[in-house]
Amino acid sequence: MDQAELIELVAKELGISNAQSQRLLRATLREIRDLLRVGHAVTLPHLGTFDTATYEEHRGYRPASNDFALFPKRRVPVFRTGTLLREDVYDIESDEEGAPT
Amino acid sequence: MSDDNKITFHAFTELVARCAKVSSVEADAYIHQLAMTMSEELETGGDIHLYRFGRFHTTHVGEQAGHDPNSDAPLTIPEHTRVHFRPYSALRFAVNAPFRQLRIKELTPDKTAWRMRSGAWILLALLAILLIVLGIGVSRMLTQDASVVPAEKASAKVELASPVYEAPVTIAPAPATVTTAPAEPSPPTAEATATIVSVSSGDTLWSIAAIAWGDSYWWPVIYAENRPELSRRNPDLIDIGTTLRIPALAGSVNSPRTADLRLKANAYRIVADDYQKLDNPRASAFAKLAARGINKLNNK
Repeated sequence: MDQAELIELVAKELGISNAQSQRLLRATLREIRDLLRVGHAVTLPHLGTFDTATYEEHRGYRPASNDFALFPKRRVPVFRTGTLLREDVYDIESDEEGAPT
Repeated sequence: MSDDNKITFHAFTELVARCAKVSSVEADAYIHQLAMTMSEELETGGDIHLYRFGRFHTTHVGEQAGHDPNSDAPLTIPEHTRVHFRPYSALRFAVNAPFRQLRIKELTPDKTAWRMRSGAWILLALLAILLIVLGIGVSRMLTQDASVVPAEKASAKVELASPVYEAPVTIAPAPATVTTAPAEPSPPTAEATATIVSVSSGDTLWSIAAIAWGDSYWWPVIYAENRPELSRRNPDLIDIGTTLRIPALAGSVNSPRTADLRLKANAYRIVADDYQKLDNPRASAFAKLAARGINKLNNK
C-alpha cells in the first residue's frame, strides 16, 4: 500500500476529502520528523512508537572496501511496534494484566 | 530509547492540528483512524510506503525453540509475523543532522586512493607536459649553442683551458706570395712537404690544426713554424689573408715520432714565452705542458 491508497482509505473511513486527508497525513509525518529531529519520541495509538537511537563510534565491517572501518557516532530513527499491534500481528494472547505471554 | 523524551499524545495532536490548520479534535480523530488503518494493513501482511518518511513491512518468523529467560525452562516460540520500519534517507538525514559532518574513518589507510582522484591525474599530466616543454627548451638551447660555439670549444680539454684564437677583422694586406720553400730550419723535421694555408675570416690556429692533422692540440706547432712571419707575436691573433705553413710530421698526431714530440714541446715553449711577454695567464699552463713534454723525451 502506498501513500495515495492510505490517504483514500482513511478519507473514506472518516468521511473527509482526499485533499484534507493528504494535508493531515503530511502534517502528521512532518511533525513526527520534526520531533525526531530534536530527539523526542512519538507514540501513535495502536501502532507503535517512533524514537531515535544514538550509536556511539564503533568499528564495523564495510563491504565496499572489504575491510573494517571506524563508523562515526550517529543517530537513527527507530520504530517500536506497539503491544496491541504486536498481539494482532503475532497472534498471541495476553493475560489479564496485558503482558504478552 | 528512554521514556523521558516522550511527548504526550495530546501535545502531538495539538502540533499536528496547528500544522494542518484544523481543530485538534479533527487531528486526534484522524491520527487514530490512520493508526487503525495502518495496523489493519500490517495485519494482513502488506507493506506501507510513506513518501520521504519510511516503509513498514512484515516478515514471517517460523516456529523455533527458545527458553524462558526467568526460569530458563525450554519453550517453543510459535510462528508469528514481525513488523519492521525502514526509515528513508530524508528522515534518516534529518535525524542524523547533529552528526552530519562526521565521516567513516579507514582503519588501514588506502594507499591507492589517489588513483580515484582526478586531481592527482591532472597534476601528473601537467607535470609531464612541463617536463616535455623543459626538455624541448633544453635541447633547442643545446643545438643553438652547438651552432654558435665552434666545435673544438665544446670538446676542449679542461686541462689546456683552450683559448679562442679569433682572427681579428682587419683589412687583409696584399695576398702573401706563396713561398713553398720555408727558410726556417729551427724545427728539425722534414718540412719539405709543408702545406700552405691561407687564413680566412673565422679561422683559428686551433681549427687549422684540427683540419690539417685532426688534433687541435698541435696548434702551437703551426704558430712556432710561422712565428717569424706573424708580426703580432701573439698566439691568439692571426690576420686574415696570412698564409701559414703547416709542417709535415714525421709520424702522425696519433703515433708521433720523437722528432714530432720535440717539435711540439718546443712549440709549446715558444707559445709560453710569447704569452709570458703578453702577460697572458695561460703562459704557466703552456710552460708546464712544454716541460712535461721535454721530460718525457728525456726519459725516453
